[in-house]
Amino acid sequence: MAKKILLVDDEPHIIELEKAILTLEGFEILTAEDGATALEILKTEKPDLVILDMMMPGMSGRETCDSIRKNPKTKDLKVIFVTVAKFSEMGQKSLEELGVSDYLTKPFDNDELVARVKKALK
Amino acid sequence: MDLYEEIKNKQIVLVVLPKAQYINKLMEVVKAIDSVSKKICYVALNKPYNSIMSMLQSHEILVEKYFFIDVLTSSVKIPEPIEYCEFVQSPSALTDISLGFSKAMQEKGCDNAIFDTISTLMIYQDIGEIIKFTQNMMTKARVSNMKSVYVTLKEDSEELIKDLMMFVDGVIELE
Repeated sequence: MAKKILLVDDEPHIIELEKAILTLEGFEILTAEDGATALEILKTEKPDLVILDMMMPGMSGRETCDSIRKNPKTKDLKVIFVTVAKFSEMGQKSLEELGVSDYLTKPFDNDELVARVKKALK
Repeated sequence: MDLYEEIKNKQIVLVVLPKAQYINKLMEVVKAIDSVSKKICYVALNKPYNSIMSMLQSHEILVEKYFFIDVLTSSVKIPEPIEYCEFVQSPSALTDISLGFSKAMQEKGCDNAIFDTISTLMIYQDIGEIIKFTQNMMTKARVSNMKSVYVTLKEDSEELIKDLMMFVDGVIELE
């Protein structure tokens, strides 16, 4: 059965790009335009991985991830962050505390996205 | 945690101040930045540049070392262009602030910057937009090997502080 990935980003073209790349790799894709919608989707869907934009209007990626971890049903869900700026050393520690599997820095290429996803899902 | 050491040794620093101590502690922060910098870009987000100049002068700080980005004066009057200040139309004009910041780095030779206070932008912008803006500023600073200090008020937003903490090299919380 195809692994399911939830893509969360407020930029539609990023969602479309990620969706196109990952669909070609055989993944089933769900999408959300913000953190609140992602949390709603997670009430009914059980994806294997969430790819979460760090900076979104409303709830940030960090805040959304925090909510995922606080929910017993989703606390072990694998999460990859997408960001524009690199995380600092302090930020890397915060990622560990949030249980984030990995992160991608925009702009990223197709191979990098696929490689990170496959690594996280291993 | 020593304020001077942190500002001297870390490239991008977040300073968290309590509202009640804002004015007193802000001057400590400015003096610390002043002591390690040749030219400073002062991004004034909650008061006009002339108020800051008066504040600096009252503490015997050389204002010639400063280039200001003023986001308030233009909303009240049309300012006369001056060499040491970039007037931005409003605090919500983040692109114009960003352009002013680039000018400070590239044309004015600033090696350090202070954003006073970044949490003020919450009146005009969503936290997500503020984080995008600060990430843009931080990336510009890192690429140009420039230092910068982001001042925020503790009571304004815990979430903004948590998000900013992920991209800075050091956090100083002054009580």
